[in-house]
Amino acid sequence: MFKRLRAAIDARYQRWLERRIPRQRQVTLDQRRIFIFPGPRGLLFVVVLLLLFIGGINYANNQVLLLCFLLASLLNTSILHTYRNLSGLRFEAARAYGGFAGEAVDFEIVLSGASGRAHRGLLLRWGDAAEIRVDVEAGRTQVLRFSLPVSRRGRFVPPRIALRSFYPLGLVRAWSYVALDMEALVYPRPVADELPPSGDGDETAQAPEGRRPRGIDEFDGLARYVPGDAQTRIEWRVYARTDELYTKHFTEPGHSRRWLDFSAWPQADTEGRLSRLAYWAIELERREQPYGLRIPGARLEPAQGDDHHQQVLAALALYGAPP
Amino acid sequence: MSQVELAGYQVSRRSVPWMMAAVVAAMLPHVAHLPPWLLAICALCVGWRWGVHRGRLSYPPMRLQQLFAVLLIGAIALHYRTLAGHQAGTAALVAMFALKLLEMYKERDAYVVILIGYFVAATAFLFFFTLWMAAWILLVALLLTAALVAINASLDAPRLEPIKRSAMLFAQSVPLAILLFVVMPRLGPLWSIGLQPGDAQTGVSDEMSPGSIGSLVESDKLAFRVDFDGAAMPVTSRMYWRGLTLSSFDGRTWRPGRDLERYPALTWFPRGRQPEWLQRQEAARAQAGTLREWRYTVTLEPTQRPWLFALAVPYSDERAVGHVYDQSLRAPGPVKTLTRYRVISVEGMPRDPELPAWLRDDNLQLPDDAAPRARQWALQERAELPSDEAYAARVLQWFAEDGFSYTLSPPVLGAQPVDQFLFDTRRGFCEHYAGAFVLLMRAAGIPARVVAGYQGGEVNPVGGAVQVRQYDAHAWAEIWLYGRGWVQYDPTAVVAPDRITRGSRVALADQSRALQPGLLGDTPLGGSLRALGDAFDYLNHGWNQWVLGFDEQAQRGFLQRWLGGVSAWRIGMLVLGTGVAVVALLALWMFRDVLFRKTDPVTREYQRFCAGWAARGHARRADEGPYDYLARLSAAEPRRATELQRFIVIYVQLSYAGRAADRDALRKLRAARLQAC
Repeated sequence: MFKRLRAAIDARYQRWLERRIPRQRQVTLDQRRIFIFPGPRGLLFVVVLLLLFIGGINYANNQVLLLCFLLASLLNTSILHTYRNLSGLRFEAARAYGGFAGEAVDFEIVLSGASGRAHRGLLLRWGDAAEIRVDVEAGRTQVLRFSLPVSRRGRFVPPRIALRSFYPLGLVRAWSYVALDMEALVYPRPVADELPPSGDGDETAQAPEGRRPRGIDEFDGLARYVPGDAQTRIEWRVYARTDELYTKHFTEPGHSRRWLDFSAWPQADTEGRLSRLAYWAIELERREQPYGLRIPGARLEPAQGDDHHQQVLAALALYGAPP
Repeated sequence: MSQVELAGYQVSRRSVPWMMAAVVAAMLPHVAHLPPWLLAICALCVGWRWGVHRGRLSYPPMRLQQLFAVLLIGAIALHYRTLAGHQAGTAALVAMFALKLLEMYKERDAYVVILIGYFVAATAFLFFFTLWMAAWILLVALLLTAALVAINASLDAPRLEPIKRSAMLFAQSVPLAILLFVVMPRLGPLWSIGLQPGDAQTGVSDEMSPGSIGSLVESDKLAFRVDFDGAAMPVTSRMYWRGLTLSSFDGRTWRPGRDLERYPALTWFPRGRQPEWLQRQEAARAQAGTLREWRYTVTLEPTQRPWLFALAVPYSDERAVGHVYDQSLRAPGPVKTLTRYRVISVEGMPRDPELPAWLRDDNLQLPDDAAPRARQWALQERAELPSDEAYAARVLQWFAEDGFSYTLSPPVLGAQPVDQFLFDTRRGFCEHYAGAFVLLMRAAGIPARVVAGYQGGEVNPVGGAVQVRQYDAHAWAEIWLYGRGWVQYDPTAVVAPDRITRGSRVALADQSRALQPGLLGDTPLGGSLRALGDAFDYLNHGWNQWVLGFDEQAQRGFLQRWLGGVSAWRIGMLVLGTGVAVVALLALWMFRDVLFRKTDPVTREYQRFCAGWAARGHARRADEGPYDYLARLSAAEPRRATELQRFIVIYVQLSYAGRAADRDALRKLRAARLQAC
């Protein structure tokens, strides 16, 4: 009963926040977005003020009263300062890096200040990442990278960034919840398994003319270095002798071009298949062996390289997701 | 990323020096009244914490600290015989403050230390009432606040950033503080504060025996200050500041008579509710319209005693000033804080032209066995003279001519002190002369009483206030003469005329340290130092007048003047209206850069350019500089590449030129922007 009430209130609050501080690529904090109230230490300070006031009137001591009023006014001034410390602070979404389910995805954001002003003592908490303290000096930008743990495959929309600041006196708390319009892809959690030969049998036959695909398993010979070849394969002994760069080449016996097929593991469920496909995509990429992907709704021709790898992983991450 | 760190909860190391400075500064004023052993413990705690900060010592174990705290509170309770009251309370507070330093591991502890610090700073105001102490406490508050800033400031903030920020915060807080001070209603005390053991009573006491006033003369502390309305004031030799009259004599000590018992409650002044005796006096005052009136305000330092000093014959229309039958003024309780009261004194007004029988009895009373030789002398002399006046003159003549001298260190007197003084030692201070004179009058059948108070004062050339110090304490006599009422006689004046005309500072200059004319004496430097001292006194007096003296009555008068009437509604509106206005003005000033922002025209053109392309789906990314953006836009729209490049080049030239763009350049930029969008 209470749980449902709480959930309802929470949902309503989130909707209200969504209206008041909508998701944007770039958020500048202003009066709509900053909340402010004395923090726990501020309340303690108010208690001290009350005691001073009582002491002042009881001893009819105007000096004590004057100090009390000065400190009360100081609290008021510090509300303005704490507010000003957040106002004008700009959050910009910079980059999102994909990651595997069960691990973390990284987001990069850029903090910059209103012109000519510093923003100090900013306490940022994003999702489950540890709270950090940042100072943005006047005229500087601060690039921050957060790792947010993720558990489920698919598009990950990060929660709001909780920002607090007690600067300058620690008595007043100003806070805001910043929602940046960012998302990261969460790839399936890789699961190791045997890769059964795909039924097509076209791997070696379709090899490009002339050269055999470069593999790692069996030494094939030396070829002149082409930019992009892995440095680990450079034959330094030859270089020492001839002053020319050669790379060692290998071939893999049998399957040198592979299709990663959704139907390869009939015994596994959907997520299990995606996990195995992800594992083999990483593995084959590591072996520098071209691979293609065939899953319902997506087909990527065999290829190799970072872009291809990302495309394959993205296709796995978004399997079954609405476009 | 040096400016990023995990949010920590340890005390920031940078805040510790600020905190230590603030702690020491907050404790310093209390050095004056705390017992030395407690001061030593405080110093030990501060030193230990500093050692911890420098890495030389470690925190004492928690158990030891708790034990120490209990022992310390116990010791304070033993020392003061109580823990209540502001003396013992302050001692306990300072002790806990010092101990808490050794328990300051976390940020939270640091906040507690600082908050107690504000409190310790405020307690100094219970003991000191000068502008200098107020300035010192302001410094303490600045340091404490700097420590707060240092806790919250970044690690690579400039070294003096905390104190600068603290000073700025305070400067911005002053207007609202003054407003609150002026308009916040002064409530009455929530509970009454009795005289605590350990409250040192100062000034004239309610009994006088040989030596009691002489001890006061050793002090040059201010007793009170008087501001006369207008420039006119009596000459200082005629300023007899009456405090109380002493009529009851036991052979050695003089004590107050029955005036207060007879008319018990102090009689306050609301017109129409005055007792008959005060109405009579008022009537006499109205008749004696030609007499000289002095109007003045007295600012009395705390004495812990109820007497209020004034020239004869005093009236006050303040509610907190009582009128006693013996023509003196009285506060409702011990004067615990600096107190201001207004007085009108009517000079030369007849007092008690008809003496009631009870008062006559009081002022003729002598113990049977007191001073037999003096009484015999009195009876003989009076019998030979025609009138009471002539007899009084004879006594004064005796004092003046028969080898009597004025000294601060008279010989110790035995069982018959008055006889011994009059016939053997003949060396004495004002209380000897006043006491002996009154006794000689009573012995001859003339009602007489001793008056205790102050005589004289120094006029401060800056501001013109009269400053009366403890060394001006004095005792003299009043005798009742038929047809004239009470008449003032000062036997000391005939023995040591200098005491009255030039003050005890001159009369006793070679006898007392407090009465020395200062180290530099009459040298030019000494003179300018004195002038500086006068200026300081004047400033301090302003503090007394405008801050300490701003009580309920002053506030009422002030608000009456500005509001044309005092009611809860008006005060509420004033507090609300002016409060909002002051805060709004402060906010306007603080946010002037946001509210009245002027973007420079070059940047504005660039912003428009970016907005234009953003509308077509090519928003500039946060981390993209102008050239990166240009490259991306050119790739997306190769046909516009030339125009795009033209605009960006002009923009970069202008914005990094280091000087403001002139009108031609701006026109060019604008044209390029229009083509490029």
